[in-house]
Amino acid sequence: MQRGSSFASMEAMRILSTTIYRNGRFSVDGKELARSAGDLDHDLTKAWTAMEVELPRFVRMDRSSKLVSIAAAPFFAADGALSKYPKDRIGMVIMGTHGSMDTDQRYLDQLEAENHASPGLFVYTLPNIAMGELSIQHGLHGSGLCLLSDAPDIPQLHDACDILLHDHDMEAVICGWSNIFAGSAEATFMVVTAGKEGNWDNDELERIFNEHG
Amino acid sequence: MRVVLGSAHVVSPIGEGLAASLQRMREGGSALQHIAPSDGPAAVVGKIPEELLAPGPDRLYHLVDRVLGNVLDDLDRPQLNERWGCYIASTKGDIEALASADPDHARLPFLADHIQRKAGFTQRPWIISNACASGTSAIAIAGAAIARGHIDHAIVLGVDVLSRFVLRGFQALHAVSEAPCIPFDAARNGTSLGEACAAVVLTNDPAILKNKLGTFLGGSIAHDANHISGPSRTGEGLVRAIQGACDKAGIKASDIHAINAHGTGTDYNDGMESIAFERCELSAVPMSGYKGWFGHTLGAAGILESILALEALDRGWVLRNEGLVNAGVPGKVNALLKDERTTGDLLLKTSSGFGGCNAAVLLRAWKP
Amino acid sequence: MSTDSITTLRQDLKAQIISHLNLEGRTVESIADDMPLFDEGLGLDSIDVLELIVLMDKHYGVRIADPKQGREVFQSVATMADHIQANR
Repeated sequence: MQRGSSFASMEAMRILSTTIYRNGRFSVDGKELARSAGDLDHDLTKAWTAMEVELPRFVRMDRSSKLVSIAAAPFFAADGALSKYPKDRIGMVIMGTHGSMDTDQRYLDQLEAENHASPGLFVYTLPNIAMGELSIQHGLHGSGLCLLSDAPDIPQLHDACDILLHDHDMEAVICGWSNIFAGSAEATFMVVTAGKEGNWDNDELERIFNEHG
Repeated sequence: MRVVLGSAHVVSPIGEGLAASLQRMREGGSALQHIAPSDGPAAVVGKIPEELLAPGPDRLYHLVDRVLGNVLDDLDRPQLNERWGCYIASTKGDIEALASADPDHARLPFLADHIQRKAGFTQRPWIISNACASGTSAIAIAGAAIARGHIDHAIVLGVDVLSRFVLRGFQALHAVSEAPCIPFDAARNGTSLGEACAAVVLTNDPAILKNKLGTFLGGSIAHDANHISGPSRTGEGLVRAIQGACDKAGIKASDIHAINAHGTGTDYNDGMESIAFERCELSAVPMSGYKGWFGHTLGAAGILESILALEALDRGWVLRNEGLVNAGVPGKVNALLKDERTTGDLLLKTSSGFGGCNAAVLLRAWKP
Repeated sequence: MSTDSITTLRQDLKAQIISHLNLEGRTVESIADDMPLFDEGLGLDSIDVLELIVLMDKHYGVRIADPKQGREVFQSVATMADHIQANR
């Protein structure tokens, strides 16, 4: 893969924790937290309830926001990777390929069928709303970027984290891939910090982010 | 390191090119026009004239090609190798394709693929989709990428076109005015949607630019963490974005000569902005929003408005708020009723969007 | 209107609100007639008001032009039912 930046000139980055949601299976740093094989809505609810987080708003959010909320929630647990960071120094870099198209389609279907535009659906028809929901849930006032790409672009995620950590003065970044469309959902989230002992490995991350099944 | 902006091009409802657009804004009024869709409520929108952009399903791509082509022609060294980045700001891309035979074309990366092929970038373009703050966010990120040494040059391009999808949604939110929007006016009653494509080059080597526009001093992005569609009543996220940009640029609020605000014309947005500007001690700074001329161009807005505000400063002007008669916002601001002469060069550009996202950049007009 | 019909209208409204706003996990029984719809009550927000305006128009033929007026109408299921009765 072509890239412009040279790693040598940049400061090291350290990944503290990783969550993976794939086909109803949700794991935190390799440890399985939930497994479900129903339909998508059922699976998302199951993964969320497994974490025992109180959030009445969860049922009101669109699927994309639910997926992002699930993938990031373990980082904010009492013993989670982000528990010690000030909330306004936690940034977000969230990449996907379909953006809000799952909800776009539902909103458009209703507009076509009934000539009715639903305000409640329309507000979720932007790719960054899931990131906005995450910021509201945890009181994150920091920098954030919603990125779109054909597939997980590890070098872009790296450069985005570097900018948030060193130009936008964040102390930690929730960085990852989240995609939901046509009944399938997958997310891989990490907590990235500017550590002395870097462990960001492009090839290893390519493998983790593109693993299927 | 100095990051220079230049070789910009714009196509919007007020026309094409920087000089012509500015002249139109100085001498003409709003380009917003009434439309009466057959299947929905009437509206006022900013539409790119048909002589610049013919109707048809591919108009988004024709628009992008036209702007990109002009920018590339205005570069002395247009080999877009691995030291070049491309940052695309868009909220909905080709959303109308969702109802077509090729719904996958509504995916924003499809637009990035088109731009990469068309311009010949070695690197994959970035797509930044931070709602209505996308354009200003893209300038902030591209500037930081050059300052951090990730790349040497960047093309930052913002684009969104009018769509039934978005118009009906804003109408459902009661966020659209029945008359042309009047940002910061006491009688404001909603926004007007527009469409545009705007692009600018950022570089650490000004020699490649045939036309220079200004310098990038610093940028910042911050979140309200309050509500997904309503702005914070205290302007919290915008205050943080402005302060972050000032810190990065190493300047004080009192150094700023002009503010180009988001100014959508909705009650809540303009009120929120006024409170944030007052909190940042910017009440006396000449302030204007440009949406009264061409409407809210969504992902393109931050780039289009930054370019035009810099071009105005380059020529010694801070432009008015088109249509503003009687400013009426809760925070104390200096909302311009008329174009004002200035010798100043330091511009603060801000944008705020759904999801509670705010972005601010500090730019200095080019005064050789 | 009789006591019976206002009770029926309120029950019908609760079911409509649950389905229209997609209030997963809520039942008609769990919504009291005078329970606040916003904040600490049912937890609705400004976007929900816009959806409720559409609901009032489509299902009960009652139009509310200004969302700000909606705040008074949408205090509770009881106030919504009263408004429908008075304006239908």
